[in-house]
Order: sequence, then C-alpha cells, then structure tokens
Amino acid sequence: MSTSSSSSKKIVLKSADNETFEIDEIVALESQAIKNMIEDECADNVIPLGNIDSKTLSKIIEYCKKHAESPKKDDNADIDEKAVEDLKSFDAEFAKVDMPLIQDILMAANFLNIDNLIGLMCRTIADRIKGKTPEEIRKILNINKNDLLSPEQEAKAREENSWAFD
Amino acid sequence: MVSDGKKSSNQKSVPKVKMQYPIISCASKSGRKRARNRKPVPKGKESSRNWLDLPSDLAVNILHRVGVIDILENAQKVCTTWRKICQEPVMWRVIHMDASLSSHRRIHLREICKIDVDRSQGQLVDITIIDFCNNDLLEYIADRSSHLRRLEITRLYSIMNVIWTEALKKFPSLEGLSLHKMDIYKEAIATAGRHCPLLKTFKAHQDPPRYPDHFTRNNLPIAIGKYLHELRHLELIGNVMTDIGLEAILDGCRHLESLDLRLCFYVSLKATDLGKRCSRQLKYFKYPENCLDDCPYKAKNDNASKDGQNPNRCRRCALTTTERDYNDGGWTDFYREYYSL
Repeated sequence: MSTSSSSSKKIVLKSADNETFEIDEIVALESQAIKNMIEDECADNVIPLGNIDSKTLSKIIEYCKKHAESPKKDDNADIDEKAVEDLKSFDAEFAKVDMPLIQDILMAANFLNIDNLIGLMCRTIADRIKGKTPEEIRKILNINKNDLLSPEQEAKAREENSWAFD
Repeated sequence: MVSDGKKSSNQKSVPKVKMQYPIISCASKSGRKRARNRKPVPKGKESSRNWLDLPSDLAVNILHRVGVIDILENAQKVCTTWRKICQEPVMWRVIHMDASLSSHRRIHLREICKIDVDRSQGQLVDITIIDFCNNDLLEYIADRSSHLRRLEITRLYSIMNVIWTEALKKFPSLEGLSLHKMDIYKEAIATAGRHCPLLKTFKAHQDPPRYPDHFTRNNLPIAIGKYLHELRHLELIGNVMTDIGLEAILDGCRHLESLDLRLCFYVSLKATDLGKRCSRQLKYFKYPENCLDDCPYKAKNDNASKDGQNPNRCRRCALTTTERDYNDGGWTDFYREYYSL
C-alpha cells in the first residue's frame, strides 16, 4: 500500500479537457512512460496528457490504483490465490464498457505504456470479435466503410479459405 | 530484437517481434523526454474515432488473440488495413492451433496450418499443433521453417520415426521441443542432439501406460542423457522410468537446472541417495507426487471432475502421509483414479 509517509509523493496528471488528477506516485508508476519521466526527473510539476480525455484518464487511474495495491507476482512466489482471483474479477468488471471507451483506453494505455492494461483491452476486443463475420466485426468496431475490400480482394480472400465451404 | 528506435523511425512498420511495446508508440515522435512536450492532439468526438489509426502492433496483438482460423475466415476480410496486416509474415511468426477448440475436421486444420506456414514466409519461430499433426504436415513445416525456435506437438497421427529424424535435421535453431501424448523414439532424441545444438528445453507429457515394458522403460531418459547434454529444462511427466533413467539424466545433462518428474511413480529416489543428488545438482525439482495443477495435460477425461471428484489430484493430496509409498503401493490407487476405473 502507498500510505506510508515516505512513499506518499503525489503526481498530478492533466487531461486533454484540462481536468487535473492527483494520484500517489506508486499508482503512476504502473505506467512505464510516466515511470521513465519520473526517473528522468522531468515530472516535477503537472504531467499534461494532451491526448487523453478525463473520462478515459479516470478509468485508467482506477485500473492503476487497483493494480498498484495488489501484490506483485515477482515479489513473492506464493502470493495468495485470493488476491489473484480478486484482481481477475476486477479486470473482468473493468472491461465491461462500450467499444469506443475500450478503444480510448487502449490507445491511452499504449501511450502511457501500461502493459497489463494493453493486454486486457486487446483480449477484450479479441473476445468480442471472435467467431464473428466480417460484417459483424465492422459493426462492432465501427470500421470506416471507405476501407472495404475491393470485389477482387474479396474473391481472393474467399479462395484462400475454400476449406470452409467444403 | 527490435529496438524502440527502429519502431519510431517508421511508425507504420509492423514490429518484428510479437507483442513488444515500444515506449509511447502512438506518439508521433518517440523518445521519452519528448513525450511531455508533445502538442495536445485535438480529441475528436466518437464519430471520428477510427480503428485504422490503431498502431499496427496493437492490431497484431488483437488479431493474435483472435486466432489463426478466425483471421483467415473473417478478420482478414474486415478491411484493407487488416487484410494487409494479416498478410505480413510477422503476423505468422507464432502459430497456435488446437483441434479441440475448432469445429473443423483435422484434415482441414492441416490445410489451414499449411496456409499459415506459407504466410510466415520462413519467419516462423514458434508453433503449437494440438491434436491434428501428421507426418505430411510436419514435413511441410520442416521444409519451410529453418528459423523455428519452439515446436510443440500433441498427438501425432502417423508413425513417426523416420520423418521425425528428417524433420529435426531442418530445425537448427530449435531451442524448445515439446512432444506430448505420443511415442518418442530414441532415434529422434539422437537426431535432436546432433542437429539442434541450441536445444535447451525438452518436454514430454505421456499417459502412463498400464503395463510398462520393463526392457524399454528407461530408453527415453537414457537417450536424453546420452545425446542432449545442453539441456537446461526437462519435463518428463508420466514417464515410466526408474531410478536408472533418472541417474542417466543426471549423469548426461550436467547443465540441467530444472527437472520435472511428476507422475513418474517408478522413480523411487531411494537408491543411491539420488534425492540428495537432485537437490545438489538442480535448482528446481518437481517430485513424482507433486501437484499437477499447472500442467495443461492433466485431464484424462473431464467427466470425472463433474461429480466433484478430481481424477488428477496429486498423490500428496490423495493419500495421507502414512499411506504414501513411493514404490508400487500407491500406484494402483493412482491408476484407478487416473483411468477412472
């Protein structure tokens, strides 16, 4: 936990819509990018995150808080299973949001370099499009209609998996 | 393998290594100090959010999780951007296919797997084929994948001896070999010893046979000790070797760091202070009676666990201390559970 006086240093993040979030340094360290900034001593004041809006940022902070509080795997080989389960169910709940927000979180997590969160978001997206037809996937992801395959490409792609129609 | 610098120089390029994240890869210019000075990007409303702006390493990450069959059948037809990504060899450097997770027939899965291998254009480094591989497919992979570093096969639908020997000659970069639920001939081990100088990890999970052949039971461990001197990690789960086999391994594989002998109940560790030798020579040692919890092949059949009985509980859980006997005493009990007799 991050309540001891020595580690209670605060970091302030500022979202694209100018909202500020004060968080414990240990929470911010979940982000490799912020960790690097802190190590390079260029995170003294406010860290502006110009491409992350406050809704996304508060979700990300929620995630980092939870993960910073949980015991880390490499600290202790036999961390108790309850904590692992707890974190798993937190992640499952956390991912129950709509697709636009998932995409925002993914982009932001990628920007901030939070490995676990990138993995969680990619897994969530993959689970939602698994077993779906191309048309359904386009709908789920709201993919731009300008980028559709040409009829020739369609035909070629169909040919490539002709086993499916045997 | 690939540095952040390389990624930043050409943001659209597909990363060479699966799931590696460059620091701040969606920043137009990388370099961690620069990140804080970036001009804020005006955040559009939802309508302008475009999946095609997703950095390609994230798209690769997602598509990997979707699985190879879904990629060929669906994902590659979604849009031209995804189609392009799905045709990049980097997308196919790691292939994992499991017949039990697919509704396709094995013969189709073999065809699909060949397409995957073609798309990798020789860049395949890691392949897992569960429950549909045969000699033909193995040869196909061997002829096209000289950079393969890890090979895992569960069940082979052919008699394998000669083909294996030939195939292993074509994997000079092989570091990890896992062969589960199949016979492994000593000739294959000898070939691996000669032609795969980088082989560090060997795993074989076998169903313990009901009536082990007393003349051949130690053949595999003896071959390993004789030919695979560079091994660091060895897993022989469910092998019927005795202390003789274990001794051959300890004698031959002097660099071995971890050894997993779960379900090898004929290893008694009583003779010639083998137990002490194991703890002296190895960093990690899993005993025959250790728990199978993290072993992916533990389930013989899942039906038994449905009525609240776990057929795979380890003997330490199953038997009280006084009952435990490392010789054949507990073995019969184990069999009864294992085969749900």
